[in-house]
Amino acid sequence: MDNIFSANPPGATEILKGKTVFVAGAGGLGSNVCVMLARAGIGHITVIDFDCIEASNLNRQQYFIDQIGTAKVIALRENLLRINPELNIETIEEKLTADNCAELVPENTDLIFECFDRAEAKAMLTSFALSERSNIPTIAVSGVAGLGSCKDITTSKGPGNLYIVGDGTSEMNAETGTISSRVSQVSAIQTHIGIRILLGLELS
Amino acid sequence: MKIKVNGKIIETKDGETLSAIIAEKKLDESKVLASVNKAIIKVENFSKTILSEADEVELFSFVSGG
Repeated sequence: MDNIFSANPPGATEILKGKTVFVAGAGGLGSNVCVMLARAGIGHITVIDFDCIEASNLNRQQYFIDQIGTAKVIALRENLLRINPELNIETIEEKLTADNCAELVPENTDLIFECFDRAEAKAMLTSFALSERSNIPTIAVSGVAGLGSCKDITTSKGPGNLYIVGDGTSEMNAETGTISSRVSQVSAIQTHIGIRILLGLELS
Repeated sequence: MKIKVNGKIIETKDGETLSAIIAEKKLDESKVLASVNKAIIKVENFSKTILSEADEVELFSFVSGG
């Protein structure tokens, strides 16, 4: 098999192959983050999502029309293994809540990606991570809806080991909608921050 | 008493709770990540967290989407 990572920056592949990440949510943010991590050569992904693919997801999520109705994590595993069959991917088809975080969020993961949809879940996971997984960098998102300018997407550092990407205000609803390019911009920033942390290029 | 909220010094009554500060800012507690003097406060403890003079409160209110 040709080396699919031969175009990676020198030295990056060896490091990323030994890293493990936890992705909470396999929707617009999570599926994009996972695809980018897989293409970068990450060693291990644990991804959690309880949902199934609907047609309206396809405008921004890394799924295909023949996967509608399938559980997101199952379809995502299939798609990721088509990119890199050697990727270690663990899928959890469950809803992450305040009651099961301690059990389901690994203590030995290198990064936590907050890729949820609901604001309540974002607050819940970041609060848990900063208290109970405080040594692990958490990269969260707030404000990814609508058609706002690329310039409005910022990255701020929260209390402790937290990064928050987004415009901070654009709530997703029927009035705002959500477009592939903006979701991709934000998830790419999340992923890139994560990759830079793993490669020791970002003070975390 | 004077406390700091998101970097700004504000005047508030003695023994104010974190819940009250969040309510004053018209935020929804369930969407807020809160810390007091760099310690993360669990959402179920917001109403039990009594603030003191010179406390530094950081609040981040998440919006849905992803």
